[in-house]
Amino acid sequence: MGEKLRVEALTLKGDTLRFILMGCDTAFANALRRTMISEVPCMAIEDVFIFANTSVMHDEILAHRLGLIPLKTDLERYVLPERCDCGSELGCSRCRAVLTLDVSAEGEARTVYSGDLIPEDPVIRPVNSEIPLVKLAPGQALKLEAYARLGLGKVHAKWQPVSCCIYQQVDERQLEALGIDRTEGVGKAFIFTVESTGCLPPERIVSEAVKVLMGKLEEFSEKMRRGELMEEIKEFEVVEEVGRGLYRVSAEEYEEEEEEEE
Amino acid sequence: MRLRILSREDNSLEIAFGGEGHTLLNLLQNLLLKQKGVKMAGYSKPHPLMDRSILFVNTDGDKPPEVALIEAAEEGKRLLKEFLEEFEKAARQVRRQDA
Repeated sequence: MGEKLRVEALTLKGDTLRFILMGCDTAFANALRRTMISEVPCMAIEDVFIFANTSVMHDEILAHRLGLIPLKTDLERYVLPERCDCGSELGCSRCRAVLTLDVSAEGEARTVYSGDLIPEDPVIRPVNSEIPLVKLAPGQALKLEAYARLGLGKVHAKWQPVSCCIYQQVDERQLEALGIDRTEGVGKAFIFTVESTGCLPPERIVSEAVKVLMGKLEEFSEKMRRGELMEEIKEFEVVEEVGRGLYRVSAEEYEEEEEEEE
Repeated sequence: MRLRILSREDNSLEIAFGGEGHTLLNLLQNLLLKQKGVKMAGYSKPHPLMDRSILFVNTDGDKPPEVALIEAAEEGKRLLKEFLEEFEKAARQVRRQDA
């Protein structure tokens, strides 16, 4: 404490942001890094309705490939499905965006690219239109509807807004080499590299991470003040929050297994 | 975030966090250890697959552990605010390096 936080030498190259953070502890830098990776929401395809798929690729592999396409994200107009009040399993216009794909290969073989996805909301579109999904032979066809939702990287890596988010601690000599003025006398210094997948601008990811961490500390201090300290804690929080039938492992099942072992 | 007190004796407090892990608890531990009056602070994640962590605080008696925890959270918020201000200031004079 006592030292002043400083941010210096912010540079932006494509989707990569670099900055130097000075005057904080490793714990603070690491909390920022971990939040950017796993708790800043971004869009990814979550549910896929396949009407026709005569390609050689199985439906589930295709759905997985669709999920991994980075999508442009709008955090103002969309909310996380678990925070949406619609209560619908398919979601509403605030918690999901629909993309459709209808391609068939007539005459000659063709590759289906991410750019063939037609977004219902023009903002929520693939970051790159040249990601190959599957190759269709003459006569094969693909028709599907994909539901994109906001999600967190801790649930699935497809919701990670950063492809790379690291920091490196540097000493005084290295800082001097970078031309940083050390007259104020700072503590530790970290060079951050934040590379966005393209879903959000990298500087937005940093400010969103601050917002998320701030919210957590706020919630914690509020609960401490109000004395809400006897809440039920389940063993597998994240898994149950997802709750789309795919990952569900309930706390009860886990306890039963333990009893059997005894 | 769900909180549950596991034990509360004289000057020590053990509290479980549901839905939180290293990200928040390591930061809180660090902020607690820097505080005057905190004798010991530590956290553990009993199982890496479970979303539950435990934080332990022990103070010298001048201030109760609850107060130390609230102060740690407030200090964290202050740091984040300071960081955001500095970051936005730096972002205004960002240097584009596109080829």
